[in-house]
Amino acid sequence: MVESNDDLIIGGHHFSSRFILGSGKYSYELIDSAIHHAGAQIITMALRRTSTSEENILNYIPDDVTILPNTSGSKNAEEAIRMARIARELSGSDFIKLEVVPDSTYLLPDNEETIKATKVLADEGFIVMPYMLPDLNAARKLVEAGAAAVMPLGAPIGTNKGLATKELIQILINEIDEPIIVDAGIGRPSQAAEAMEMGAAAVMANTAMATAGDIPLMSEAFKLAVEAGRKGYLAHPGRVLDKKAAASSPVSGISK
Amino acid sequence: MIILNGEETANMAGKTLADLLQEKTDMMQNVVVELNGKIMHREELEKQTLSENDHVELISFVGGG
Repeated sequence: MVESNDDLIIGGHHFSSRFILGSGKYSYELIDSAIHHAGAQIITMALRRTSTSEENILNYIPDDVTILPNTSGSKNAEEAIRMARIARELSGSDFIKLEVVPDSTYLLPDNEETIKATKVLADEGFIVMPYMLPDLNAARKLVEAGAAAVMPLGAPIGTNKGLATKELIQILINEIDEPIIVDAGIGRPSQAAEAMEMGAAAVMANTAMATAGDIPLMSEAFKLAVEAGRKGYLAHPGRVLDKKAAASSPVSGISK
Repeated sequence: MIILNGEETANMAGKTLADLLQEKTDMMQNVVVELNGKIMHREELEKQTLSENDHVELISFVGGG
C-alpha cells in the first residue's frame, strides 16, 4: 500500500489506491475477488434498463468501495446529463465518470459535448471525472467547467493497445493541476506502470482484466504495477544518456 | 397500456410505481424509476399511480467501464 500521505484526492475525497477498476465484461462472481486483488477503492459501473435476467451487481460490491457510475451509451451532453442524474439517484453519491461517445466504431469521446455536460453537472454539485481525447486546450476547458479530474484515453476503449497517446497525455500531466487519470486502452501492467511513472495520478482499466486468462491475478499485477510506477515517479527517474555508456562499477582497481 | 423500457405493457394503468416494481424486479435497491422523463424519488413510488400511455424507464447498475 502506498503511504497514506500520498493519497489520490478527487473532489475532496481521499483514496490510498491509485488503481480504478472497471466491472464490465466479466462475471459478477469474480468482482469481489478482482477488487480484493486490485486493492481498488473505486469501481466503475454502467447504467442500463433493468433486466429480469440480470443479477444485482451491488450484491457483489464491498461496502467500503466507492461506486463510480459512468454515462456510457450517451451520445451528447443532454443524454449524459440525464444519465448522471439517474446515477446519483441510484448511488447516492456525487461521483460521475462522464462519457460522451457519439462514435460507435472507435468509441472516441466528443470533447466539446463533454465540456458542456461537465459545466452543467459540476454546477449541480457532481464530482465530474470526464473521459476525453487528450488535448490540452480541451482539458483546460474541462477544468474551467469544474472537472474534478481529467481522464484522457491511452488508446481506444477495449483495445489493450496501451499508451498510444503518450506524448499528449504527458502534456496534460505537465500542465493540468487536477488529477490526470489514464483511462481506456491500458492492456498490460507494464503500460499502467509507465503511465504512473509519467506522473499520472491514477490508472483505470477494465478490459485488461476482463480479457485476461486469470482475472484476479491480472488485477493483482495491475495493483503492483500502479504502485511501482507511482513510486518510480516519486523517486524521480534518473537521467538518460544519449551517447556512449557510464559504468556502474568502479573503473579503477581492476585486478589483472 | 403503458410503455415500460420501450415496450408496450398492458394492465398497469391505475397501479402504483411500487406495484410495478414489485412485479418487474426483485432488486429494489438497484432500480431508479423515471416516469415521463422525470426521476421519481423512492418516497414517491407508493403514491404515484400510473396512467394510460405513461412512459416508464427502470434503470439499474450493471458491470461497465
